[in-house]
Amino acid sequence: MGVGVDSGRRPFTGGRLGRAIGAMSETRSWPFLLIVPSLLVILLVVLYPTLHGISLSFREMRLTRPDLGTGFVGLRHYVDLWHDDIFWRSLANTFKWVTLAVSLELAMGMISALALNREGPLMRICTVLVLLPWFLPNVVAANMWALMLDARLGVVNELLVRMGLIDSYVAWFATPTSGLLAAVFIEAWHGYPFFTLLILAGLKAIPKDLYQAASVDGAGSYQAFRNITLPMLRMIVVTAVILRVISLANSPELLLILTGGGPGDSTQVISLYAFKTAYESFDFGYAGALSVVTLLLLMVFCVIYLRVSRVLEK
Amino acid sequence: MAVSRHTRRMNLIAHGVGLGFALFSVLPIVWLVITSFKTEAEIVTDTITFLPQSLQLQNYRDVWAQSNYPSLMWNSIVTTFYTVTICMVAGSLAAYSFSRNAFPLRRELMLFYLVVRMFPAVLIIIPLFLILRTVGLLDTRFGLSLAYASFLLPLFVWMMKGFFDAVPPDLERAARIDGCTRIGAMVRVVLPLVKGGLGACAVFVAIGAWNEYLFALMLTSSAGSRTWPVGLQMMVGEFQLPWGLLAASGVISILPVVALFAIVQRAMVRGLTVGAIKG
Amino acid sequence: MNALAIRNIQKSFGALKVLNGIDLTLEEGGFLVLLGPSGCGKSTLLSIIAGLEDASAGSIEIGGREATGLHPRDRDIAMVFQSYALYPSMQVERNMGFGLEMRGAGVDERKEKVGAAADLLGIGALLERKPAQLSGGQRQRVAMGRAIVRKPRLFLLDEPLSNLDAKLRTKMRGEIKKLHQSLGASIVYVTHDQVEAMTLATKVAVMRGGTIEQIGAPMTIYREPDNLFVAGFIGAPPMNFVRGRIVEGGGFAPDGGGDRITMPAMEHRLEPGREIVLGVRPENLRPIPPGVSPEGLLRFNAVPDVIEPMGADTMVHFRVGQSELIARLDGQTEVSGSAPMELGCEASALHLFDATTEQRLRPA
Ligand SMILES: Nc1ncnc2c1ncn2[C@@H]1O[C@H](COP(=O)(O)OP(=O)(O)OP(=O)(O)O)[C@@H](O)[C@H]1O
Ligand SMILES: [Mg+2]
Repeated sequence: MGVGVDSGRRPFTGGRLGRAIGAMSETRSWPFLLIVPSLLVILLVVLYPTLHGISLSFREMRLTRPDLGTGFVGLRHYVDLWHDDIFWRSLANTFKWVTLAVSLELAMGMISALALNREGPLMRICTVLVLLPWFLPNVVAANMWALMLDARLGVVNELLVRMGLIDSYVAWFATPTSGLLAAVFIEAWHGYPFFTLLILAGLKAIPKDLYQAASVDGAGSYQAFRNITLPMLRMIVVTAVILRVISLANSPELLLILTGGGPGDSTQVISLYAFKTAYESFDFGYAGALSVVTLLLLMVFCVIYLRVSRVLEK
Repeated sequence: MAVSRHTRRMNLIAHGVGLGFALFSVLPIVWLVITSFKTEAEIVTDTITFLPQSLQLQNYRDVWAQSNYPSLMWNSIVTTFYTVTICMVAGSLAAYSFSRNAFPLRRELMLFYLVVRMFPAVLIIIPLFLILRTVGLLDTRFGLSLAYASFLLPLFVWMMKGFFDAVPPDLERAARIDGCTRIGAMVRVVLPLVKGGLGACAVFVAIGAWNEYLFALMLTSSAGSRTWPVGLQMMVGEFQLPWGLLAASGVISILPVVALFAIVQRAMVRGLTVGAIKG
Repeated sequence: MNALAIRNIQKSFGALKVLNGIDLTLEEGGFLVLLGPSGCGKSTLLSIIAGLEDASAGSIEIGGREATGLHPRDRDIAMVFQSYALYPSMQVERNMGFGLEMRGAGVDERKEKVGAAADLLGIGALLERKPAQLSGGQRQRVAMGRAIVRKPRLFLLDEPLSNLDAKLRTKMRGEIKKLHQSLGASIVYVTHDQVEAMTLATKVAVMRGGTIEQIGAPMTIYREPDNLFVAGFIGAPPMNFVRGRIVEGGGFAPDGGGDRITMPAMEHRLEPGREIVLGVRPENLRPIPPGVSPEGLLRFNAVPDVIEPMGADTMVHFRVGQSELIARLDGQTEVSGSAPMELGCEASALHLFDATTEQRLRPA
């Protein structure tokens, strides 16, 4: 019979290897040993690639043009970038895309969380349903909405016509402005549950007696919201906005699937431009430079945003 | 009483708004399901019908029998399994260490695990492509899962740390006096208590890996490793879109996600919030 | 042989010094209570004895055997935690037998020993339950049971009763005393409840800020506290203190004015002008009938501020100079508010401390 049987004379220690690990766990370096596997993975698949990516942005690397070699080109990609119209347009689009999407998601998340912050089974079920889109893959979300917003087959057009809001079907992805707005709308549908989730948790953490005290003092519900809810939620909202801005600016997934940058470059954001440069033109050096710029902008954003919102000082 | 009538009205409005948001979230998904049961003729029509005339299973049959969808799904399952395994093993250990020990640079390390989320996906993808190609893991399911660990492992560590924090350290102290080694105390006493959290974090990571598109697009190219999101997107041709097929594939693919989410949603929501708030 | 001998134990967490050189011994079968205010390092000391923390310096012997650096498993100890630390995922039976299981005991042996311990504590009917299904008192018993199953050489108890309500606490206190007597075990017991210390201990160590202020038999510490801190910590209500100075002719003038107090004849040599603190336990004060002036008593003229009849006793609050004093009088005593009365204390029950060093003044 093996060592692992509970009724045996010896306790289960997983054999010799188990005992060796057990002995290791009693050494002083144990806390570090525990971290080693994850640290290795992260160094290997995050830190090293990132540093490598940054270094690529200073080098020539086109998989389609091996004849050019992989030599050091200094700041040439960054100079090219400066003269690249598409880059500047992407930058403006990124700004629009992130600002619009985050504001819309924050507003929707705040309102829905305030509404869902009640007792009872109905609201509990609603909360679960509200969260559902967030777990939907971009591929499904984008194609689903593409069908619903379709210029000929779209159910959204049909509903809007029946409600009398538009006269005839609209090709949402045909003009730059409506294309960007439609994309923002889909992103908001997909991403607002993130804000709902965090704000709801924040609301649940606010002690109830604060509100009782305020209502004894004669504060109305708007004043209570202004003076109690918002300040208490500040930390969470700031955190959520930062996380969301980072992921919106970094990931081109939804736009790649939905519009591919069109119509007419109106949804061409930097991350998407970088990805296409890497994936379609295999120009890794230039794509690296675009990503480094994204990273720098994000870092600047985080620093400024944290300073302006002054959450760290408290 | 004026106050209570006001409160009741607010409550009513809140229920209305909450219900509205729930419908807004769910109805598009419902439409996807409905579409998947329609025939192509019903979808591509000038007069939209809201409910299918009859429950057509043809789309599902086609997905199953005539496309390579089953093998795409299998690739996704394997990749997801690898990713979850990496996260569970490496991530749980690290989360436990962060939760229990005060060692030098702990704060900085944890912050580092957070900051890596700030790195643009593309910045990581390109060198990963080169690295995986060098070590021969490009276009493999294991290579892809390693790439997934780059953004899922840090999240897993933060979420899991929250669950470990909730276990009183006296339990391990008692276990050590009872004769356990440190790792023994973790395995025998602590892990059984964070089962729920571990499951939730695993599901979260699984969903993330299952849904991912960008890395898969870049890092896989053959049928032997391509995952379903890439495969589904490849069905989207230039002109005539097979909407029914797409819808059916979509429904099949999100079914596990919805099911898993429903099972562990409470623990997962808690873990997500803990991780995100503290981070 | 000593059950426990600790020499010069020091402990720092980073820059924070938590223990500054602790020395103590506990004889076989003794009951040592570590008593002190919150944060003074009691739990840290206990953890070091258990081997859960490493000391920064010093050595430990358990049962005559060097134990410094040994794994907790190999120290032959058991511990009861303030939080009980029962394993939530295991039934009571497995909880209690876990230590045996880890040491490789078989099922039968475990069953027998757990059963015996459970019978001793009257928890035989609870063995199938999970900790979450137990009341506070039951959990406490299970935690005790888990400790005694292995019959270790030394028991370590960290505030085991502090999570119980007052009534249950009194009951469990009695049971622990009985257990100690029937098992004949050596126990180190941490508490900041001085009643527990007085009733249970064969030896009390009063700690403050990482050092032992006094160590000795409970009654010794009660009767002859070494310093102001110990005097104020032991006893409920605490000892009364009056600060003041010796004046010509052997009197005592309280700080902040008030009547001069005539000191009884004492063996101390107290030169005039010396600043001292006078300590009187509330229970040592008794009323002096009007018109009588017995010799050898310290006397206070008291105008009661607050009178608290408690049945058996009556607490009388009054002032001397700036100090507020309490007298614990027999419940039968007639006390009426605002009527002046005279309270006296035997010279032998008087405690004198130096005002600056705060050390006890001993007869020269
Ligand atoms: N792991 C630690 N890191 C840093 N400081 C610690 C640690 N453990 C304890 N301390 C500090 O050491 C001091 C003594 O703590 P300890 O728990 O021993 O006190 P205690 O006497 O048991 O108090 P209590 O009666 O409240 O339980 C405290 O000031 C505490 O803040
Ligand atoms: Mg303590």
